[in-house]
Amino acid sequence: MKRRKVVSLLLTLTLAGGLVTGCVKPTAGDSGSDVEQNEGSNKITIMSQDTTYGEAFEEYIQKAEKATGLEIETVACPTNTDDRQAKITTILSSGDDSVDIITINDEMMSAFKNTGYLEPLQDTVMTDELMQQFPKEYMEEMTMVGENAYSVPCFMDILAFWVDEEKMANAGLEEIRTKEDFEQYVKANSGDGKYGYGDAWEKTYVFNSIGTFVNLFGGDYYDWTNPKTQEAVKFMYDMAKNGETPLAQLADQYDPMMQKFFDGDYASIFMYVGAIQTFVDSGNYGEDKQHLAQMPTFENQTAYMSTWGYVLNAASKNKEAAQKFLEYAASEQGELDYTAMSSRLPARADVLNSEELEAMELAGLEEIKGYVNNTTLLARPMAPQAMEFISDMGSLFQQYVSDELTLEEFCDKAQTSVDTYIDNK
Amino acid sequence: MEKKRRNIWVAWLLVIPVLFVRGFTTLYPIIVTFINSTYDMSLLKGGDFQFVGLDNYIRIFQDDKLMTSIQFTVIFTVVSMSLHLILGIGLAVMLNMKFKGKKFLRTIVLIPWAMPMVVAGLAARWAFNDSYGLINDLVRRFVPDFHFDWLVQGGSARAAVIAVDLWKDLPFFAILVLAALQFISSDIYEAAKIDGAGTIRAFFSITLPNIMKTVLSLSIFFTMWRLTSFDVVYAMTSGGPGDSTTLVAYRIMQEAFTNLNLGYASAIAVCLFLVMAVLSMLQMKAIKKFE
Amino acid sequence: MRPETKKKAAAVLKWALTAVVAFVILLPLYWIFISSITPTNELFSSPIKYIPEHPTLEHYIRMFTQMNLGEKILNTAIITVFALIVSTVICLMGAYAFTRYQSRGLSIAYGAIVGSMLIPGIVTARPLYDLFKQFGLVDTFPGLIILYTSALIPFTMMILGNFLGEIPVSLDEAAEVDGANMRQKLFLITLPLMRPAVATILIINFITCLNDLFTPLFFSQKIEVLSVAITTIPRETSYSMPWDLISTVGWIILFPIVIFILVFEKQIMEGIMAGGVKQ
Repeated sequence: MKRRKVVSLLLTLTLAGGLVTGCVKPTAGDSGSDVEQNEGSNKITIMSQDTTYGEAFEEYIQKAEKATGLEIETVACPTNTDDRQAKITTILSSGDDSVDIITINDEMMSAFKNTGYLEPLQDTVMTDELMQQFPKEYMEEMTMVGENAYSVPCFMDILAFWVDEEKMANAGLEEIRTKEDFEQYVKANSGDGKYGYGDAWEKTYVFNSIGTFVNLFGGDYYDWTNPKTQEAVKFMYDMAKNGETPLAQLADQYDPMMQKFFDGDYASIFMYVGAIQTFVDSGNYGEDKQHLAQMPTFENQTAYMSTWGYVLNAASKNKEAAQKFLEYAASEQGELDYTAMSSRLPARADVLNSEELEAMELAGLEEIKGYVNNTTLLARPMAPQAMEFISDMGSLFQQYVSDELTLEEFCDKAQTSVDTYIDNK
Repeated sequence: MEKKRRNIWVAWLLVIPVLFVRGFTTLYPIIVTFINSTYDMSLLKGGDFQFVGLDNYIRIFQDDKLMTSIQFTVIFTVVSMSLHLILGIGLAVMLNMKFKGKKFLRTIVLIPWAMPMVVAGLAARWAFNDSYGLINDLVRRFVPDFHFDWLVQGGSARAAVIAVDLWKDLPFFAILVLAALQFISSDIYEAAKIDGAGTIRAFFSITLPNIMKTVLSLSIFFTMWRLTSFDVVYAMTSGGPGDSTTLVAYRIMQEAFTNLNLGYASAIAVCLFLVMAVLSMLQMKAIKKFE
Repeated sequence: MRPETKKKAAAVLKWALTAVVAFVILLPLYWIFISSITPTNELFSSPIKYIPEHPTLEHYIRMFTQMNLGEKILNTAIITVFALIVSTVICLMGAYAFTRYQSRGLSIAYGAIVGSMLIPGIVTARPLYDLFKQFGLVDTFPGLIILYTSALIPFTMMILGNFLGEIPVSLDEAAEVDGANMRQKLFLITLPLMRPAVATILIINFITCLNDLFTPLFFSQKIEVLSVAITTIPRETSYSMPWDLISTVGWIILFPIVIFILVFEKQIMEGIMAGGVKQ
């Protein structure tokens, strides 16, 4: 009867575990700024998801090696959000020093910036002078804590508005400038299995759309008692109830959304400009077809922006060498080299307006400059426990549009969620 | 069987490597898990951990999301296990049939067992897609214009997750039941035939009682695997829509690896662990009755 | 009903059931396969074309040139081979001790090893990661081999224990009377008898090693293995779920498994069943 022994052993373990409790106090991984450094090290390791660019990425790294005189090793990184975040979180939080530089997004940035896992860069790389060139509100809100700046953005992205020019005539419009235009356009293009507005309301994606509408309505994502905030989600709810946007998108991430836009099922969407190549490849992109449009003005004219940036692991033993790379990445040439590899938008304003960039003939560059010049670009609301906050709000919203929660209940719970994740900073 | 009691040190010498490897990778982490469960360890909030006693355990009972997870884990385990028992025994009987297709059948049922769950799960995510997925495409061959997004509604998403779990694991269960079936000698069936028992009666009066013990002990392992599995939802639904398919083990993974609430994750893990210990004890009692 | 008609009806029923099972299992695999050879822009079409109009190998070529598959296969092979050897050797030693010697301590140890199968890996993964980091084992071959080996131990121990338990001790004793020493007993008598058990356990463990996703996902960065490949698929944008490439990598992972099953069907079947009966 060996099996009974197994169980009794498990129970004994349970008790033993209980007894040891209190004698041993757990400690965090040794992250901190006084890590012993490898003197004169010339070798760094970068973990980046850009390795999927293959040869273009290798060329970029070669350019960087030439410019800095470093020897750079690269490590691939999972390309889906959950695995990537879990992996990078594990490395940083355990004080792993096998990786010096990591590319991270806003979600991870807000998770890590208060933890001490990242090395501040304002004294070495991100000097005041250099900082001027990056979008100020965004950098302060997203990548800094007090004086400390943690990120060297390698590219930026804007969550923009896309329309189908061929469907403009249905609404008798030239352009969508106001809330009324938007409503008219959406209404005119809905019905028969088509929707005037389509989106990706999967629970970790929908917060982008919620926030976009909240900002357009002049609300505050952190304040769900604000009538304007409530009006924004009510607006989304009504669109779904009126058949102007499909409930089926509750499972959609951006892929199916874009595909349905290309198929003509949706007349307008919000989508990051970084995906523009997919639009071009679909064959539907063009002035008189589907294209980027300026954000309509509801109460405000706003749009979200985001970046991916290089950060320096505080546990790194090769900080001096790593800083050389970061200086290169932040330089005009570094940003241009990155764009040459990825066709993504540089975050530096002077590079964005440079002739070299013009020469690369990126699709939609004029419209994008329009966003940068006219629209208020905001950082997305993020909590330290970013993914938790995002999917919590996503779940609540899904329950609201599925009529499992009333607007009142939703706003109550949304506020509770904000208080839980934001106040604990 | 006569076993040796002298020179026992030789035995321990031989056992040391296994105990060392297994102990190194499970014993220490388990003890740490117990300890961590009594601390407020939220790595993303900073490094100073406070001893909080049973607070993490109390939090479990106030966590609505976790209650949804527990609810689904129970549904998932019960429904999946019931179907395992019914369909699994059916499939095992099929695998035990004597006919020319036997080898073919036995070969293909091995494939789901051998393929990685993450591949099956990612494929399922796409297969249950409304517009481009395999499932609706098949339905549309019979019901034109059928449209339903399986992974959007909580109920159907749960059903889909269970279906994929069955697709992947049922064949394995059936093969194990088959092993027991092969031990029933054909003489008994011959005798029953002479007594005039039909196929169905023979199944209930001979087959079932004979394999019951194996089936029950198998169901211990399969129940435990259901309780701790999360790879199916990890690849297929990421726990959505809402939290309706977030299995408890998946929640533990999220808390431990993404949200870095190590203390809370450990507390949930300890509870899961205790539930499993109690359950396996109960099931063993049930088996004893068949002995 | 005449006996002949009855027999025929039974045969029809058997084949019909077989067809249903085959359909349910094989169709998804076939669908993954045709998805992987369909050009990307034709994937988003409804109804599904079960015979692709423009079959292409472009996804396969892209994956092979871009994803260092050779290196991944080599790493997988190294880890798997070592884990299989180490786990089999130490479990044979252990199983021998557990079945040939008797003491309270030993039975508790055996129970603990087999029982630890119930402990979900994910629960202990995080503390284990910190422990491995202290020993410098994260992202190293020895570290991964230890983890893979450890994962194989409970099941291997159970199967080998069952098999060894069946081999009568009297054989050993007879040899002892003939003056055989410990080593001779082990190599000349016990091990040859264990050959079928070892073969089946190797086959099953091989599949287990190939499929392990979470161990390499969390415990290695530079050492990439095949099963993780599906998580590092290139994406045009960070917002997509590239079914064309997922199905391709899916089939690259599936292909060796399917071949393996076709070759070893009998052994695998027997191995699994051996584990099931004598619990």
